[in-house]
Amino acid sequence: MLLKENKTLIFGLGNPILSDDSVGVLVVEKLDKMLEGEHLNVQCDNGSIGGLKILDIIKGYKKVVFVDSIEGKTPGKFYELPLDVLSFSFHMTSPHSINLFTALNLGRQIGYDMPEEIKIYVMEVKNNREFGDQLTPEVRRNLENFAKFIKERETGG
Amino acid sequence: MAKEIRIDPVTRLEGHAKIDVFLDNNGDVEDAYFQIVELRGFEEFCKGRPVEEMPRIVTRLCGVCPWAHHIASSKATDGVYGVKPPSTGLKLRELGYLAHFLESHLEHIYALGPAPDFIVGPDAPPEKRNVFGVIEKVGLDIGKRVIQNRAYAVKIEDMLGGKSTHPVYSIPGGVSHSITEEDRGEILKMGESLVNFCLFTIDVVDKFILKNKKFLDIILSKDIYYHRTNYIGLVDDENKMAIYEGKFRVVNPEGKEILKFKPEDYLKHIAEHVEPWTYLKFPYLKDKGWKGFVDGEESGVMRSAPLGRLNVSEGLKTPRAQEAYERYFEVLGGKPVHNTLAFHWARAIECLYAAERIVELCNDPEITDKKVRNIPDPGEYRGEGISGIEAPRGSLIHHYKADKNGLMTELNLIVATAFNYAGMNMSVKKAAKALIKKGKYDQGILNMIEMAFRAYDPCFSCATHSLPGTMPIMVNIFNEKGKLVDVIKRK
Repeated sequence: MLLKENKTLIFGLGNPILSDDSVGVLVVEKLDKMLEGEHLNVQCDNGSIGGLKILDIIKGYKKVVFVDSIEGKTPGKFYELPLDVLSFSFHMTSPHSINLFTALNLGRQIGYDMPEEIKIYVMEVKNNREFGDQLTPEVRRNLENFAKFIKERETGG
Repeated sequence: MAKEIRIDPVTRLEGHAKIDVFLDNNGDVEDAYFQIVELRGFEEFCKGRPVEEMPRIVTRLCGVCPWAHHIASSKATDGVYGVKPPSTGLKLRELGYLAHFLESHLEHIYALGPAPDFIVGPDAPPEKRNVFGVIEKVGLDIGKRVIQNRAYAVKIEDMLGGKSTHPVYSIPGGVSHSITEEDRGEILKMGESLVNFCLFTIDVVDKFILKNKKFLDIILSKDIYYHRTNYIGLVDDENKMAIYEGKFRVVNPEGKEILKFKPEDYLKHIAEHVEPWTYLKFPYLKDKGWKGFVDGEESGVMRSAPLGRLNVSEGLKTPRAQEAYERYFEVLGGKPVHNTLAFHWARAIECLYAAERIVELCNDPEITDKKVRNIPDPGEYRGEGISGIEAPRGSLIHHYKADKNGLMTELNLIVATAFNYAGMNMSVKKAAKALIKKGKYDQGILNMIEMAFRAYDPCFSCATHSLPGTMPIMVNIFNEKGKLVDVIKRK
């Protein structure tokens, strides 16, 4: 079994009962199934995390990949979000008090083993203010391709 | 020239909020509103779902206080099924929930509220008013202790909750699993560390805040952070503070008990006022009626959470927390305490109570008993359940109705932040009126207005201290024609 420090964590962010907000969670669940039995150095998880919880989740991993939703003009469009425009990602900016950069810096300052690399993939969404377990059609249609896109980028196939 | 100042957090987690301050022609504050944009449709989402799923569904209502909803929900489902958990089941629910109280309160104290505002300073540059600024002041070793002890609280939650962040532990009739002797020993050790750390936190309040005359004056000032309101909170049979089981006690601005009722009777005593400019309702005392955003004897406005809980209770049941409770009222001039910034001190005292109570529960021989759930008896099914508990951010009520097949038909929640919502609006307005004169304001003043609502630790305060070096808050200034004439951004 590989140690955590040699592993990549792929973490889906979002609320599974808040319509399109669930994109990150659903995509990572798909990825988890796609990777089953293959890439043992990749671990998948998800949740609506906030505050210092980010620190609890990322510490110890070599690399962390977040999957989140983002406001945009083209629901269903997906891409890697450069870290310098992180502030547009829904779940990485204001989780109660501490965001990703703050958590990373704080972790390093107190001597935690922080990931060497962080990446964020996002999909543009339409409805994330209404409770429900249905996705808007444009978002739903692109879920599978989004999962494949991340798999290709992170595992090479 | 009338102007509108808008303090608008631009990011969100679970809903978002903004402050609008309206100036009159002289540039003084005419009015102020604390407006919340809520997420929609939770009630509809729940209707038709099996009622036993509710304790798991409600944890998704909010990523900040999932345990509070989880516990309130399982209590309400106990009522629907007419089942009472065994003693150990109740104690284990309380144990997990106390750990959540600690996680939530400690994060607020050190990362969000009093530490950045008072240890770093209310008028310090925004880029310093955060957890790094706190560490810079108190030292790295203390920073490590903060993170370590908060992590202990999270570990206890995870050991019991079964799932990080969103617990799947509490179920109708009890909890899903017992704990082993080994678990008990591990939790006890972490609890003992937390007691020491919470005693240290009380000392931090003393050293950095109470011994600083300037800060103590701000806390005690009746001009900015002070409202004579009613208070509500849960108490046990001896009127000691309770967070899980008890009756709601309400005291008036003189500290006199005016109501004491079972959570099941909440509709007889609490009503909710609606304003067209916000999605969140304002709970108020039915007997007094809604008189607007005013304090005083006649007002129906009540405040809740740590300030309210200490004001309504006649003590705390653990020894060190009781000592801290006595000192709190001694320093602040007796009961009730109306100073809004005292919320922070009260929060630290509640942390100590929670840590001591965790140790007590771990030393209770019954805590490792295997009987942790009573299976509901179909003959006892009632179809309706109401629970009232104390969440870190205030009183919390869940009310469910289900049909004969156990499917949800009605849902009513009065959430913790709502109990303080009227108070928050009054506090923001009073601070704005006191601090903005002749149209003049700066970052320090705007932060001091934010401090008025941050003391309550509302769930949507998320944006106020995020990402050092960026701009979580915007202030838009409009002229009387609604034209944007100025934008102030946090540096």
